Parts: sequence; structure tokens; C-alpha cells
Amino acid sequence: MDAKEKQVQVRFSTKLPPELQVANTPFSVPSHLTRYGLSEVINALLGLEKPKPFDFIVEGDLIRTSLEKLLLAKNLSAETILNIEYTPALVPPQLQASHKGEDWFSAVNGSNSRYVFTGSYDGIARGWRANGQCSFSLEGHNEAITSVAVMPTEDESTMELLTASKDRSLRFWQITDQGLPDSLTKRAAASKVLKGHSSSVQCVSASPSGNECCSGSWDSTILLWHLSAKSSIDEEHTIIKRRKLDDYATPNTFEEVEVAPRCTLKGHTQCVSSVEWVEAETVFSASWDHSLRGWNVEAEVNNLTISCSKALHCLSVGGEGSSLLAAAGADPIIRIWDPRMPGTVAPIQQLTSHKSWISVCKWHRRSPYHLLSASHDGSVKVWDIRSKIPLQSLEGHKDKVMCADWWKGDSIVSGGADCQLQIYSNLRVN
Amino acid sequence: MQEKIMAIVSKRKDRSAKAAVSSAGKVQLRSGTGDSDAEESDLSIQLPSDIEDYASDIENLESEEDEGQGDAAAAAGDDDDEYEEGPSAGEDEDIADGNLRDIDDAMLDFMQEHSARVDNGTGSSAHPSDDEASERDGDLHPSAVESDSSEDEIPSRNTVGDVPFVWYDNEEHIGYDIFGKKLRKKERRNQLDSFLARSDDLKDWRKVYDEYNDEEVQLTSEEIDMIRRIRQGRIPHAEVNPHESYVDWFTWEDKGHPLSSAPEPKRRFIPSKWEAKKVVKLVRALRKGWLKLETPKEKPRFYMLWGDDLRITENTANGLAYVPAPKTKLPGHEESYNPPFEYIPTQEEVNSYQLMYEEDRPKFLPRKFDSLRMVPAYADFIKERFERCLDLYLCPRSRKKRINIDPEILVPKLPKPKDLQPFPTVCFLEYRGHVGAICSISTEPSGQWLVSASYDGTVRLWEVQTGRCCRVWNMNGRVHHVSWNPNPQLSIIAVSVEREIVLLDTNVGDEAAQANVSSLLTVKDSLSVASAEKDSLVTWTKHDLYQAIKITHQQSVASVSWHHKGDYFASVSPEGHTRAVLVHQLSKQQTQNPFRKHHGHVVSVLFHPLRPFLFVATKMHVRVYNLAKQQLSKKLMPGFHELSTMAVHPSGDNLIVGSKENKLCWFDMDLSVKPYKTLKNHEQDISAVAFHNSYPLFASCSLDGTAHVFHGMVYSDLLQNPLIVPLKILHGHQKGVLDCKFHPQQPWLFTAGGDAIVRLYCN
Amino acid sequence: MPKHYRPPGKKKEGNVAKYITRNKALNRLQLKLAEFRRLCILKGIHPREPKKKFEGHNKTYYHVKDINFLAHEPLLEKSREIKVHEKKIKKAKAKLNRDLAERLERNLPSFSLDHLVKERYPSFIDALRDMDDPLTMIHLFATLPADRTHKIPVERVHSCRRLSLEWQAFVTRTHSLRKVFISVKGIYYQVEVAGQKITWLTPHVLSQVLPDDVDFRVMLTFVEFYEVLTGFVNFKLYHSIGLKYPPLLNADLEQAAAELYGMMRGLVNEAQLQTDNNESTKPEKDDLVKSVIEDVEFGEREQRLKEKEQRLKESQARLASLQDRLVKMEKDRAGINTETDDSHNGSAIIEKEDTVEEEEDEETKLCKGLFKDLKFYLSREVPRESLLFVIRGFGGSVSWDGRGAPYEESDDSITHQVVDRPTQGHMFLSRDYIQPQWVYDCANSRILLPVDEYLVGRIPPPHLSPFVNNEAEGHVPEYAEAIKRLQSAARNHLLPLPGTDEPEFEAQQSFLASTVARHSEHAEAAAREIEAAAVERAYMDDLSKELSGITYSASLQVDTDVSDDKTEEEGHVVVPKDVPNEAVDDTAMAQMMMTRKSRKLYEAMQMGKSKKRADIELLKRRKREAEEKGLSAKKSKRLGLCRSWERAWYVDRKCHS
Repeated sequence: MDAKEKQVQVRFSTKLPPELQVANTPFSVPSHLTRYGLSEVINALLGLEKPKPFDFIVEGDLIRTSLEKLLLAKNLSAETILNIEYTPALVPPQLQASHKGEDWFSAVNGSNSRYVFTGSYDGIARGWRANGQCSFSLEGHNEAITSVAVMPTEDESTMELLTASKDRSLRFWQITDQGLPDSLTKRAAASKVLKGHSSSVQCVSASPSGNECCSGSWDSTILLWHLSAKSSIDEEHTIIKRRKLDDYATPNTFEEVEVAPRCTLKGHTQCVSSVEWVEAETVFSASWDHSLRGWNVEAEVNNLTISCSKALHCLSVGGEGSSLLAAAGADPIIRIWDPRMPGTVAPIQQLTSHKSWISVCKWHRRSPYHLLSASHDGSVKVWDIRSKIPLQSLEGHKDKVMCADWWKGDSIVSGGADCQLQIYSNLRVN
Repeated sequence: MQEKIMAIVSKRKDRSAKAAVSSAGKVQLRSGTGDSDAEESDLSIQLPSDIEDYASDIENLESEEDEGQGDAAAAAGDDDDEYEEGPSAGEDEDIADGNLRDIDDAMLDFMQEHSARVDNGTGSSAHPSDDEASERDGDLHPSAVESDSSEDEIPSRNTVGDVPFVWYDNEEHIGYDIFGKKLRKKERRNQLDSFLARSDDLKDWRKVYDEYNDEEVQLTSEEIDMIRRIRQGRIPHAEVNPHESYVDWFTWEDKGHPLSSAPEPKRRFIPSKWEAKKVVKLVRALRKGWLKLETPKEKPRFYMLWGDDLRITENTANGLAYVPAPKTKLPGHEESYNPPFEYIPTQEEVNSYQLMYEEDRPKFLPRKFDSLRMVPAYADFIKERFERCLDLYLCPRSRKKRINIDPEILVPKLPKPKDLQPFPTVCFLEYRGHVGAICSISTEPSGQWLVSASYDGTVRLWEVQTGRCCRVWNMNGRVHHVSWNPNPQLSIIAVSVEREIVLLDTNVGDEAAQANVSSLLTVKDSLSVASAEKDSLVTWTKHDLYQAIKITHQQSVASVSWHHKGDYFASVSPEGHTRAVLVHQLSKQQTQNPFRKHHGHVVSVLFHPLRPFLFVATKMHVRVYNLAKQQLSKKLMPGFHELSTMAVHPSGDNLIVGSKENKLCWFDMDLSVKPYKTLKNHEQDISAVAFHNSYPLFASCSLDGTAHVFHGMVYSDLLQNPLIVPLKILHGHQKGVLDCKFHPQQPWLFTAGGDAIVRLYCN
Repeated sequence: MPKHYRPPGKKKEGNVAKYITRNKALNRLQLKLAEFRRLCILKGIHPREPKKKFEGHNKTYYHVKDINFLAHEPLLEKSREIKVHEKKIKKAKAKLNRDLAERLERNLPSFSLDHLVKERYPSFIDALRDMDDPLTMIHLFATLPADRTHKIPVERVHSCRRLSLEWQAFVTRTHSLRKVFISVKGIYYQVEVAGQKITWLTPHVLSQVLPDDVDFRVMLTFVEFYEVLTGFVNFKLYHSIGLKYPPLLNADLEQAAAELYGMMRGLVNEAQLQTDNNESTKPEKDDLVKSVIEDVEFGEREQRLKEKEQRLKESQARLASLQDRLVKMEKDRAGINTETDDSHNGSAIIEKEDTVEEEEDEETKLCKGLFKDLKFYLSREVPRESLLFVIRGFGGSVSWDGRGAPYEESDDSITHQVVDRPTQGHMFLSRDYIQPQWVYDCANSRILLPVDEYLVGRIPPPHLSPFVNNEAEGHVPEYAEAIKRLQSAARNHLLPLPGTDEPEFEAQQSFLASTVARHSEHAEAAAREIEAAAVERAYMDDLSKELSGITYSASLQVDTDVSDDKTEEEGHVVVPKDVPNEAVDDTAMAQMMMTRKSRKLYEAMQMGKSKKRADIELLKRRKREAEEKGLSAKKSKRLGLCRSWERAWYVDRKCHS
């Protein structure tokens, strides 16, 4: 490197424990350094015997280019001291388990810490262990399952599951942990069948309160369902109907209860592709009619409409204050809105690295910055919204990735059209 | 001597009279009488006869000289053509000198005879004789001797003219004087006393008898002397110096001869009319300026021709446009005598030029010379100049509109495609699974499902969002066309398999709809029987594999198109001539043939989306029938030879027609029956065209593997014509694209290719 | 009834009424073809293209108005008269009427073409616009041998010679010669007179062979008219600079084949008559030295006057430029260009903006100052006339080997000696022995080029045509770049580093400009994607490297080249995949909306463009191959230029200040 290379005054700071802190005296580094160089600098300063990759943040942006480019972009003058915060970089996760299913995985849910629930095109919902063992499967739908939601329950023993299917119905499963030896896979029957959609149900989301859910469908409506934890026989307003199912694969007969929707939220003009029940009374929905809507469940009114130019397939609410809307759809761009700003139309950020449609995007449940996205180009990408480019890109799938989710905070579960369920673990997101 | 004189006389007798007449001397000639009595003639007669002979000879001499003069004059005045002169001069001449000789020797004898008697005193001659002598002198030498006037006053006494004296022989008188008195002859003395008188008279020998005046004349000594000189052949007059110094009186050049003594002819004194004519000619020539005497003075050749106006004129003097000759092209580097080396063709290039045709061979081969002195003369210089000249006056010049514009200016200014978003641009999704070329696709009204028919005999149902194939129907037979019922409640697809139309239940949709569909798709036997007995157009029967209806036609069915309500559908079987187009009713399961005949080969059929109209496209035209009135309402003429497909705008007033000659035309049926716009956009046959039913989009796909997306905005007010803007060319298919359909809601386009793939292009 | 049937009452219409074929015209005018041709040439009447060739395509059509115009031409009558007159002469001769015959011969009816000149060129500018061909023809005939077999009369050749010399003299005196080009065909000169660019071609001074397939009658007819035209034009030009026409030539200088010089002397003397009439004009003597002295001192006087006003003007210009520079500085803070542009620029700007002819004047000043204080000596073998013309036209003083030379070869003040021989025996150290091309190249490039490539015995650098615009052509010979650099050096602009072929680059840019401009959005979108992908990959690589334990500094050198060649290949992958495809599509879509006519036109244009591009490519390919063969000693040339441009710059300074 020649002598007339520009130097930049930098001061490092960190929130890391003191053994990883450096003296915050400003000193000058060559301005062509990138993250790599800086992290070497830090390593040198800390004198770590094993080099440890760091990531650097300037004014809330991760350094991805050289410092001079950065200064130019943020048009800072090279004379002032640059405050750089460094954090350990996100190391790529390793594949923990991969399982080949019979059919496409269309939905996966990792909100339960012990099991991963998946739904697939053969209409069977399954629960998986971390080692990729299918612990149980729930049959009942006679069409592909499109979405799986987990009812938050107070006790860890019972799990309440909601599956939406193309057969225009949703099913509510209650699984008690007792009857589930880890070895064999056993079937469980649905406790409730939620019918009311006139076309295939595309998405379901459970309310934080834990006794309601909402579902969106191709008939462009959002239905709210009331599900009490208790058995609903004594409920008056629900119609009880008994019948035998002579469906495939279940010789034994048992009863199932049909539930009618509590109310209908009309407003979308096309398929409601994704809903998310955030707080007690707010539901956000994304639709193919290029719009994101926020609903007040109590008033059953649409109190927010954000329109973008593309059909939307997925929606996720989270980020800082868990109030950012990340949505993606029929194009390779993830857009992030901030509904708290009044009259938001333009996304505050756009993340472009995918090559094809994005099938799902999910915020990390705890980290305000991290977000994962799965796309038809067969890749799952992990983003930090402080940088334009993804942190990690997991190319494990050989075909479209239909679904993906965080699991247990440090793992990623993804399923795709290649009938693969893959679990990546120890992704240190903090 | 006697006979000698006689000889002379005889000579004189046969001499022509003219000489005598012409003689100047007035000597009376008595020779005639002398002749008559020659025998008894006496000397007195003889001698005078001699003399007069001599005199006459002198006459001859003169006459000779005259002739000479005349000749001279003739020679001199040769140039002017008027010169009359007796031609007889010549013969006179030789006769004359013949005489001259005789006279000479006669006189000599005479002198010798009398030489003894030398008389010293010449004795004064008598007056008349002197006078006569002088007179003769005057006659003889007009120029030498000054003739005094006295001789003019003395008349000759006898006035009788020049008559022969024979008449007076026996008269007493010989004539008359001026007073008319007779002149008496002298009485003759007899010969003796005359002889005596002669013998004693010494001077007698010099006497001469003048017969005319009848007297004797005595010759003076000068006369004698003169005679002698004559006889000696010398010049008669002593005082004439024959050798006097020559005085050149006139110019010798242009005159052949010396001055003639001939008298000036008359013409010399009167003005010549010829000359006058010439003068007049010259004067006229001068006046008319035919002949210029002075050369015009030299005025400067060049002068100030132009003023100072610096305008440029467009027209020639005769008002035509002035087309200046195009300037020759300025030379480039390659013409230099020392061009950059890259301009010099290599050897193999030169050889390749030799292989070329004459005309496209380059005219000029650049060459490189190391220095200026090596540059040779350019052989074709003059030739090229000449050709330039030929161009200048032979080539027709005309002002060509020289278009030196940027070609991009020609490109029509269209609204930018990205202002007309959204429209399909990128392919994100492929629907794979077919093994044969996909000939037809159709979408479910809500846009969740897609159905595709392929030549591999299967019909597949796809989920649009994920591209998953949800169902496969295997029609055993070649599938031509598939179309989804536009009614959302009836999830039925009509598949045309060879000679059948199969109405399949896709069972997407809720229970009620399913029940309805299944009820619809159960064959009512009565109808089929009824249709069967009157050997009807078609037979409605139950499909053997699937829970579906099979409608069997006579001929193979090319395409099916639904009415928008979803109850009626029309089938096209191109070979069935009068039964080419059949309209079926799903609810009643009836079939009818609305047309008695068709004009040409029916290609496709469409229902008007709003009104009871039916579009029937034959190879040449598109006919629009009013089904309610049962009549032809319009006949659209695209001007193509082979239509392939058509699509109608959801508003129903605009129609696009694709043809097999790569052209696409847009009809505005309110405007006219001619195309509003014709686009030649594809390289190969257009296989399908499609309208989007909510966005202002239409598309055409072709066998060249591309699909073109257009912005086709139809405005509500009739005054504004539709706006057509090409938006995007969608590539991607390896083989030709056989069908294209828009997604019912999204601005997406499905294309079905010969490569067994359905592609979805999104915005 | 035939289609072309015209009812008797009806008049002809359209093309049939407007145009007439040549044979019909001949019949109408009752002329022989030769006479008709002569008339057309003299009167400048040419065939015209009717819209519809109603009598077939193999005929030539004249406009009826033209033909009527001919019919009323006095020359027509004249020619008939002359014919009759010649008959008379023949008759008289036959009748041996000698005096009549000679009288008739003495007053042949005379005719003049003046009215034709005025008629064809109503204004002087029109005449000037058309001077190219006349000058070329005149110069050609000035060199032709008077030939009996081809009936080229002697006096014609002489008058052509004279006219050409007069023209050259005018050009030399007004210093309006702009460009010279020695081609294989001859020498091209371009002058700028009254704002008109006039270009003519003179053959090399070698004996012309008269080809037999050339009809000299035609050419002679042209020359006949061109003589008159050129004479009048010369008159007007001489009058415009206040000189007497015709100028008097010096006989024995003519003998010494230095007519131009002789004429210049004549001009100079006249000019003296007119400029300073107060001082008694000396009678012109024939001894050359005196005349030369006069010449020189007159020249100097003129120079002095010119210089004075020029200095005045430049000072004003400087002032003005200074002011406007101040204004500019106040106006915009970003005054980069204001630093760069010096007084020269400023003055140029000022003069440009006040009048056109001012900057014309600038041009002439540049031209006449080029060789100002150089003294040339032409040795025997160089083309003297052309060099005399050029050197004097650009303000140099020149002598030659031969009679009437103003100064001897041994003159010490001679700075350049123009020789064209393999070796020069005795050399004066005080002068440069250059080949003629140096003079021409300097004249074209308006600067004094370094002489060391034009020295005796060397092969001179390529002689480039001054008529081509290299940028428009798309291919710039490297010597042109060198000259460009020298020029900018001489005008002490920023010198672009030798070796960067930025003209070529610009040319390519301009070539691609249209398409690139139209598809910039695709391009830069693609570019953004590329660089994002590159950054992402770089990040991943770094991370993986770091995890594998390689330190940054360790991985640096490998890293850099790997990364950048990766980006390169990435670019190569993405851009062609994306942008040109888009471009093609856009053009295709635009074309489908065109009308058929404009589409055809568009395609034709594209074809032409592609052809041009093709032969540019050919040139480049040849150049490449040649360089591979090592045929061009590029480096050495570069060095030589770099070594010598300071000198050139210095000389140029001297000339300009």
C-alpha cells in the first residue's frame, strides 16, 4: 500500500464484556480498510490468540465497504474522528439436521421451543424434534396444509396447534405431552374444525391472548375464530355436529367439533396471503391485492392500509419495538415499513439479495435487527437491517424454499419443495 | 524595170481595197487606169504609179505602226474588257513589209540611174508641192513635225470625192472646184515634147504627176531624202533619234507593254459604271459595318461584375431551383502519399480484392511512398477530371433530402414503459411437469389455479403461487385446447380432445359450488337419447374415467370458448364445414348450430364479453354476428391471409387479431372495419393473443419463442383513440410459445411453450 | 382509348408539361448534339429528374424552362452567325477571293460569356461557392502541354497558367490558405475566402499523359467558361484588397519558373502604390535584389502595423477576459475551469462573442504568423511552386536554387532547407534539413512540429489528411494523437498523459452513446445489482477467510487480485446478459411502432452505420496485427514526441507572443 494512502481517525467502542474492550483512544487507520481489516485491527489490539471476527457499526450501519467509501456515502469529512462500535460478527450456522419428507413442506412453525411443527402438501401436520425425528403427525386435512400456527399456552405440557389447509378449513389440535412417547409417531385427532372459508385458507395466526385466531383465505376475507381452551361442547353458540369420518387412514372414529367464525374482516380484494395477530386487538394482513392492512379486532375495522406495487405473500411483524412490518411477495425484494410513522407509504428499507419470489420472511423473536427470508431461489438468508446485504445465506435446499422460521432463538428451520426439512443451529443472534 | 513596176502594180491590183481606204495620204491613185491600158501605158503614168505605190506603202508602214500601237494598247488594256481593234492587223503587216522590200530595190535602181547627175541646188519647190509635202509630213509624222495650220487652209481644188477617175476619162474636166466650176483638164502635150522637156529639165526626175488635181508636183529634197531613208530601211526622218534615252512615261508593272501611242480610247474619259457599282457596294459595306477599316480598340477583358451583396441565391435566372453541383468528396488519410500503415491493405487483402467482382472491388488502393520524390504522376488525373465534367453536365441533378439525422429521431416518441407500470417483465416461476409441448393454458377466475393442456395427452392443474402441480388428468388422446369456465361458481374446465369436448370438474371451490358442478356434470339421458335419435350434431355422454361429460363431435375440435356467464360455450371444429361452429348449453346440455354456412375456414370463435355477439374468425375475415337478431352485424377485414387467433377487449369494442404472417392488428370496432393499427412485431407466426381483463395490457406470443407485452389503453370517450405502446419483449422459451394468458388479477403473464414449460412473468 | 390519351383542347399537365427529353429538346432548338452540349456546359444547364419518367428510364430529361431559356440565349444566335460566317469564309477561299476571305476572317463575329457568369452566379458568394471545379480545371490545364492532336490551344494553356498564378498570389497575399494535403492524386489546397471553403486539386508537377478516351472538346468548353469565371472572381478579389487587376508579372522571374514570386513582387509594388502614395513610387526595375528588399521591407512594414493593432487587441482582450473571469468566479464557486483557462482562451472567448470576422481574423493571424521569422531554402528537387505557395501563404520567406532566387543557399539566416534526397552532402549547422512534408504538416497542424522526424534520409511520419474529422471517423491514427498533444502543449493546456488513448475512447463513447444513453437505467440498475452481489460475496469470503484464520494483511495481496478479477468476470457475466439484450428489445419495440417507410429508412441507416463500424474495425485489426508484427515502433515515437514537444512549445510561444 503506497504512502499517500488516506488515514482515518477512528475510535472504537463496544458493549461487549470488558475482556473484549479496547481503549477508546482515537487512532488512525488506513481508509481503504474494510470490516476484515478492522476486525484484524481489533484482534491485534485485543491480542486474541484465535482470531475472532467482528462486525463494525457506524451510525447504525454495518460496515460493509471500505472506510473511504463509507465516508463518501455518509459524506463525513475524513478529519473528524469516526466512532465505530464493534460487535462479534455472525458466524455461519451449521446444518444440524436434515430430513427428507414425503411431500413438499408448505409450513413450518418454530414458536415452540421443543418441537418444530410443519405442515406439508400431503395434508399432514407433523411435530419434529431437534434431531430431525418426526415425533408425531396430525392427519385430518384432505388437502395441502398451507399454514401452521401455535397457540401460546400457559403450561408447557399441552400444545395447541392450528393448521390451515387448502380444503377451505382450519383445524385446531390439542396435543398433550403425556401421550407422546418420543420413539414412535402417533396420530392425534383434531379437536376442532374451523369451517367458514369459501376458498382455500392461506394463512392462520393465533392471538397472543391464546384463545382466538384469525385466518386469511383465497376468498379474500379474514375470519376471526374464537377458540376457548376448554372443550367447546358446553358452548351454546357453536353448533355441535357428530359424524363419522370415513376418511383415509383413520379406522377409529371419533367426534370432531365444527366452529363457525366469530367475525369476518372484509376489505381485501384478493387472496389474503398472510396474517399476523400482534397485540390483543391488532391484526396485520398482507394480500395479493398489493396491500398491507391493519385491523382493529374489537372494532372490526381496517385502520391501516399500506399499498405496495407487488402482490404480497408473507408478512412479519417485529424488529425494534416489534412494530416493523416486513413483507415480501412476488418479487425478490423484502420491504420494511414502519406503521408508527403517520401516513407511511414508502418502505423505510428494502433488502435485495434474493433472485426470485420470497415465500416467507420472519423477524427474529428477540433481536430487533435480525430477520430471515426464504425464497423460491432455494436460499434462506439471514439479514441484519443495519446492512444492505445479508449476513448469511443458506443454500441448503435444492428447490424452492416454501417455509422457514426461527427456532429456539439460535436455529433456523426451513422446508421446501425438495421435501427437505433442514435445521440450522447455533446462530448467535443477540 | 518596166515589168518590175508592173509587178508592183499587179500586186496592187489584188490588194484589198481596205488598205487604200485606210491610207492617210490623199494621193490620187490612177493605177486602175494604168491597169486598164497596161499595154499602151507610158512612163508618165508608170512612175507616179510607183510613187503612189510607195506612198501607199508608207501608208502601210503607218498602218503597221498603228497596228503595233494597237497591239500594245490591246496588251495594255487587257484587263479592261472593252478594246475594239481590227483583227486584220497581222496579215496587213506581212504584206506591207513584202511591199517594202520591192519598193526598196526599185528605188535603188532608180537612184543609181540618176546618180551621175548630182544636182546641187535643190531649187525651191512650188507651193502646192511644198504644201503637200508638208501636208504629208504632217500626215506622216504627227508627233515629230509640228504641222502648221496653213495646210489646213489650202483646200484641194478638186472637190469630186474619191471616185474612180475612169469616169472622167472622156470628159474635159476632171472634177469641180469648190465653186462648182468644172476643172478643165490640161491639154495633153504629146510625148515627144514632154520627153524633151523632161530631158532638159534636170529636176524632172523629181516631178510627180498629181492626177487628182491634174498637175505635176515636184518632190522636195527632204522628201527624196526621206524616200531614200525609207529605202534604206532607216527611220524616214533624219531628226528622229532612234536611240534617244528612254523616258519611262508610265508604270511598267501590271502593264505588259510599254506606253502605246495608241490614242486614248473613249472609255478612258467617261466614268465607268462598273466602278460606280463597286464604289456603291463598298460604301454600303462601310455604312452597314460589314467591313471595318479600323480595328476596335481593346477594352479590358475583366471588370467589376458583382456588387457587394453577399446573399446566396436559391433560384436560377429562369426561376428554377438552383441545384449547385455536389462537391467532390474530400480525401481521407488513405489517399495520402504516405498514409498511416494501418490504411495499407495487406497482400492477402489485395488478392481477395482480385477475387471480388469488378464493381465492388475498391477503386483506390492506398500506397505508401517513403518520400515525396518517389510519388509518380497520377495516370487517371485527366480521366477523373473528365468524368467529373461529364457528371457536371450530364447527370440529372435533383435536390435530395439529405437526411443526416440521428436515426433515433425516427424512433417514435412513446411514453416510457416504466411510466406505464405495472406489466410483466421478469420470469420468476416455471411450471414443469409436462412432457409434451403445451398447446393451451387457462386460468381460474380468482387466479389461484392454472390449467394447462399438452400434446402429451394430459391436462394439469397448477397452483399459481407455488408452481405445484395439483392434479393431472390423462385424456388418452391429443388435447387441443383447454379453457376454464369464467363463472367463479363453476369450477369447470372444457378440454377439447380430438373429436370430443370434455367438461371436467376441477373441484376447487366450496361445497355448494361442488354440488352444483357435480349436478351439472351428470348426463341427462333423455337429452342424449333425444339428441341421439335425430342424428344430431353431437352426443353428450358420460366420460369413462372421470366424473365428467364428454361431447363427441363429427370432426376434431380445435378450440372451446366460454360465454362469460359460463353457461354457453362454443366449439370450433375447422373441418366440419357447416358444423364448424357449435354452441352448447351446459345447463340444458343442448347443442345447436347457429350457422347454415360459413364463408371460409373457421379459425376461432369468441363471445362478446357484454352483449349477445359472436365473433367468428375465418382465415381472411372476422365476422361479428348478433345472436339476438340472428344476423351479421360487422365484417372486419384485417387484410391478412391467414388469421391464427384473436382476443376481445373486456369492454368488447376492441379486438386484436393475430395472423400467421407475423402481424398483429388492433380493431376499434366503433372506428371502422379496417385495423386501427397493424404491428409487425414477431419473426414467426403469432400463436396467441390475450387481453388483460383489468389492466390496460395485451400480449401476443409467437413461434419465435417470444411474447410481446403491449400497453393498450382504451379510453372511455369515443373521441380519443386507443393508445398502444409496446412495453416488453419476454424471452426465455427454448421453443415457440404456443399460448399466453394473463393472470386475472395480477399483471402477470403465463406463457406456454413448446418446451413443455409454463412460465410466469411478473411485474 | 389509351391511358395517355389527351383530348385535343386540353393542355399537357404534370411531368409531361414540365419536362422534355433531350432529343426533343434538340429538335426544338434545332441544334446538333455537340452545340447543344456546349451551350449546356456554358449556361450550366443540366438534366433534371422528373417525378415520373414518362418516356422511359433510359432517357435524359430536361426541364422545359431550361430549354426555353436556352432558346432565348444570345449565344445561340451567335453560334448560328458564326456558322454562317465560316461558310462565307470557305466560299471566299474556294473562289480564290483572298482579300475577301481574310477580311472575313479578320472580323469573325465575337461573343463573350460575361453575361453567363453574371446569370449563373448572381452574387459573388455563389461564384465562390462553385470555385472548386474551376480552380482544379484551371490548374490542370495550366500544366497540360498545348497539343495539336487534342486541339489544346497554346493561349488557353497560357491564360490558365496566368489565372492560376493570380489566384495563388491572392491567396498568398491574404494568407487565406488553410489546409494542404499531398495525396497520390495530386496536392489538395483548401482556402477560406469570404467565409467560403474552397478546395482544389493540382496535379503533381510531372508531365501529364493525355489519354485518348477523353473528349477534350468537352473539357475545353468547360475551361472556356471557367477562365471567364475565374478572371472575374480574381478581379473582384483583387479589387476587394485594393489591388490593381490584372497584376503585372515579372518576365524573367516567370522565366525562372517563379511566377508566383514574380507576381507577388508585382503585387507588392502595387500595394506600395496604394498604401503609401506619398512616397514616390520607384519605377519597377528588374534586378531582383532590389525587389526583394522592397518586398521584405514592405512585408515588415505591414507586419509592424499588423502587430501593433494585434497587440492592442490582445491587451483589450486580456482585460475583458480578466473581467469576465472575475464575474465567473463570483458567479460560481466551483471555478475549476476558470483557473485552467488562460488569457489565450479568454481572448478567444471574447473575440468569438464580439464578431465572427474577428475570429476569422484570429485564424488568419495564426496562419500568417506560423512561419513568420523562418527563412526557407528550397533545393532543386522539391516541388518548388507548391512549396513557395505554402510557405509564403503561411508567412515565411523563401528562396530557391535557381535563377531569380532572392538569397543564396549560403545565406546564414536560413533556418530550414527543404531537401528531398536520400543524403545531403554539405550541411550548414545553422539550419535544419527537412523533407517537404514537414512544411505541409506544420501548415495543417498550425504549429511548428519537431523537425527531427523529417530530417533528410529519414522516412517521415505518416502524412495525414487535414480534411477528416478523426473523432467523427471513429479511428484516430496515433500520429494524429501525437499532433493533438503537441498542439495542446503549444497552447499550454493540460497535457494528457502520453499513452492514454482518450480520443479513441471518446470516439467509442460517442459510438455507443446513443444506445447506452437510452438504456442507462437498465445499465445502472444492473450495475447496482452487480456491486451489491460483489460486496456480499466479498463479505462472505472475508468472513470465511477470517474464520479459517487467515489475517487480513496476510490475505491482502491474494485477496485484492482475486476479488477484482472476480468482480470483472461478474461484470462480464451480468452486463452483456442484461443491457444489450434490453437495447435490442427496445429498438425492436420502437421499430414495431414505426411506419413502414421510416422503418426501412431506419434499417438503411443502421446498415450504413454498421458498415462504417466494420471498416473502422478493419483498420484497428490491421493496426493490431502490424503491432504484433512489431511494425510500429510505438514506444520510440512516443519518447521522441515527449522529448521534443517542449521545443515545439517554445517555438510556438515565440510565434504567438
